[in-house]
Amino acid sequence: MADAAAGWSAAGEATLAVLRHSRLFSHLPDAVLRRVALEMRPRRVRRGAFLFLEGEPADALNVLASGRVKVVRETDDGREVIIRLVGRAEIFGGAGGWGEATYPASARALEDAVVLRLPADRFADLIQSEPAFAAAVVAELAERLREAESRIRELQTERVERRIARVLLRLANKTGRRTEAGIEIGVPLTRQDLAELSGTTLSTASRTLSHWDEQGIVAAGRERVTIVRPHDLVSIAEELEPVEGGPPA
Amino acid sequence: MVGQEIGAETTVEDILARHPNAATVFVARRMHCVGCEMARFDTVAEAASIYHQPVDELVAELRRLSAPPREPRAAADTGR
Repeated sequence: MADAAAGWSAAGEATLAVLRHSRLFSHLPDAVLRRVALEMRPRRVRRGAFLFLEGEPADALNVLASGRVKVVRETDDGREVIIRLVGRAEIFGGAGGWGEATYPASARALEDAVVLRLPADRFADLIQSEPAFAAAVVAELAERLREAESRIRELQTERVERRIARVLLRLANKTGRRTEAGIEIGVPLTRQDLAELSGTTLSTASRTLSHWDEQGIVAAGRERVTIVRPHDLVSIAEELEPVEGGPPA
Repeated sequence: MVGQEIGAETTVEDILARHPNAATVFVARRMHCVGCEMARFDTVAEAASIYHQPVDELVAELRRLSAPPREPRAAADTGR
């Protein structure tokens, strides 16, 4: 284990400055922040070195003091996928704080870095002895939960949009005819029809269609739907990556 | 449809229906045209525009892959 990096003593001003910038610790009263800082173990890591590996016991929460770190996972065929990039004062390996048994991902230094580590047992002590710290942890976890729920809602929305797009495209393929405005679907299609064909509610189908109409992807009349920009709808339906190399057609 | 009849205004579906091996051109250029619901309507020119591919090159490549193989010359033809 590397010695404490010069200039990063546990309660030094540099350490305090970093903690004040981190979301978890920033609102702690000064006295509590200093107590937290005393528990920090600074550690210097070389570029390319792993700070911890996926599946290892989660024994500390980490705060990046300087340098850059990436959080990664290995795919089944051995490729490294970046989950996120960690910036200064950001927390990673939080599993080591809020009591998960192992780290869900690995962390690797992108350049020489200094990391402040709060060992799991120190973290637990602080929860017990400093109500302000416990409150800050609750707030942090609540924020992460909100972010996760928001992402789940996004994924659900994306799935419904894909279904609606696919229904429109299939109908256009089978019944459509080219007009000046685009590809007009050849059967009358109410919002209710679209909702039931897509397995969603009337309000979702309506809202989605209106949204696409505003964006110029479709022209949605009361019972007539015209696909104005077919490829945009295909991109939604098939989750295509944006095309490289130039402005959109 | 012989290779030469493929042009910028030919639809993707038409090309693929008559020359399935033309699919290799779209796949190699990372164009999602094969199996696309809009293949019936999209012309080669439109597909080229969407995927930022030079249309003349694309047409030429599709013609090359769609043309029937050349017949070998009969021995008598080569006499001068």
